[in-house]
Amino acid sequence: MTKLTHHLVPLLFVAAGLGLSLIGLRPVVADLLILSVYYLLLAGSWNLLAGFAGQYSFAHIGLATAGAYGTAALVIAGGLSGWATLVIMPLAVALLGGGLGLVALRVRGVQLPLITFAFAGAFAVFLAAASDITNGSMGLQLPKLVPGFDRSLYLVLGGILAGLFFIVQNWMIDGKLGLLMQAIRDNEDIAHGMGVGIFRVKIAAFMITAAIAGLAGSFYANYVGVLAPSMLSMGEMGYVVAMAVIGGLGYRYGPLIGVVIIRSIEYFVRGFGAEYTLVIITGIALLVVLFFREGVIAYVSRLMPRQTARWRS
Amino acid sequence: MSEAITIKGLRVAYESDIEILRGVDMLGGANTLTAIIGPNGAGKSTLLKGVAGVAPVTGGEIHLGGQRIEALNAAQRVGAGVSFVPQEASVFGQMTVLENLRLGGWHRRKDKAWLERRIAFCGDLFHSIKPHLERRAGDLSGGQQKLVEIARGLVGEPRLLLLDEPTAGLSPVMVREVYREIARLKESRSVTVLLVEQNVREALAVADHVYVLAMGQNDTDGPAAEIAGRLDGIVRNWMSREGSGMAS
Repeated sequence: MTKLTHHLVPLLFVAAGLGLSLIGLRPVVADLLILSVYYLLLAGSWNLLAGFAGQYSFAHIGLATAGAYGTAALVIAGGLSGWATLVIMPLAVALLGGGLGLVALRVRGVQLPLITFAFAGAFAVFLAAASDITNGSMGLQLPKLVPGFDRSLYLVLGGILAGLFFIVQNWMIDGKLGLLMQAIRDNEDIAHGMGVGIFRVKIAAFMITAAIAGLAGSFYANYVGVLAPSMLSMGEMGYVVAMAVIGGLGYRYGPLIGVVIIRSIEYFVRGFGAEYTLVIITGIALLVVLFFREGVIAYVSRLMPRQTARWRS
Repeated sequence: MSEAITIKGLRVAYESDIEILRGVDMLGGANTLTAIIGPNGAGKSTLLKGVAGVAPVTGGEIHLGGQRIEALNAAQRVGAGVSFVPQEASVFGQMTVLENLRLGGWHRRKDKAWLERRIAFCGDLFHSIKPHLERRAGDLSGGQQKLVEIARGLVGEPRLLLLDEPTAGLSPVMVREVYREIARLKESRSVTVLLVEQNVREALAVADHVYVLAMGQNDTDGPAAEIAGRLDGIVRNWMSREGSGMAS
């Protein structure tokens, strides 16, 4: 794919959002698509952080939850409109991400996954325990962006947010930052020896991807309208990782493919109950790891080397 | 512009009581290739690391052209024109060859036109990697990857290139491939090279001048042809010493 095609993808999503909102989808399908945008933002930004910068942080779903609860706090306690939170929360969560980046600067190897895992776990326990603020497992309720059950606005907004994500992703991967992130991923010491500013690159990668996670969380809160600590389960983080890995970690459109595959499976097997969905997806993840080790997109691009060789960074 | 390197009485010690280099003298003329050979543990790689600033220099002087560099840290030495290609594989495996080259000139990225010119020049330098500039560096053969590292080391237009055992772990075919390209690099007379090598015959074939180290000190030196002529005696001398050439 050429650079031009990469720049057309955001437009495609915005157009799709607009088009679908006009068609009038069945509510269950609209729900599926709108929440898929939430997962695309999460899996996509986690792919930038882990697949391109090599920083395996498991706090990503924690950052999204912070974005969601922050949105609820601003709307319920602060009296702000949901629209304002879509701007404020990404910035606030970016600062949180910057803090995680500072941690990542001091650790190597398995320490970062462990520390971020602990961060997410502690945050989940806090959300459940601090019931005077968060209402514990009863959850928080906040009003929707528009009253009623009309989903067309969310389809348009979802299309715009997905488009926005691909614009940011193009800017990162094709620019200086993407080059430096990949150098750090491949060989941090050698990159450092060549004058790459490890500090600035890591902090930038953590802050930008955290901002996207915060945006995802805020979008979720404004759409679903009900927040509970279960949003931050490790199963959810596993979903996000599975989407990136099944699609193709370190590939520009890997997470998109992963989201499409997993959300489709969820849709078709939903009759069996949520717990079976997880078992089925785990089975599929296992098959992908065994037979398409670099993800589905890598396998497909090998079948068509000419057309898709540059799908990779 | 390349410079001569002059090393006087260089001492390197990783711990205060164990000196690896015990006063090594060396002269590498501008735009020449100087090979450093010697038995295991003689201090060859340590010498290069001392010059690159990644091993602790405890005494002596290093002059690059008119500049003394032994007190500079590793980053400052890169700025002074020293480029070090370590023995270990160091390509950015998942990035393309061109992206690897771009990072080689990263410390001078502000000069965009210059950087683009250098990337084009270094991409063109080695026949074995020229057709693969758009490929992932990690997908190339071991010899080609080493050539990418050398080309990357040249992008910054260094005044001194340090090559630490560029053929370690490579098959004989790849060793020949790498040396064919190093020979072409030498013929271009564009950079001063210090080369440490275990494959003595290949090193002698491309070198202008050869230094032999043993036990952290100078053993002998001479023009490559002369050292090649008395190589058997030199190697016999290594063997006759007890154990390896390790300083104790």
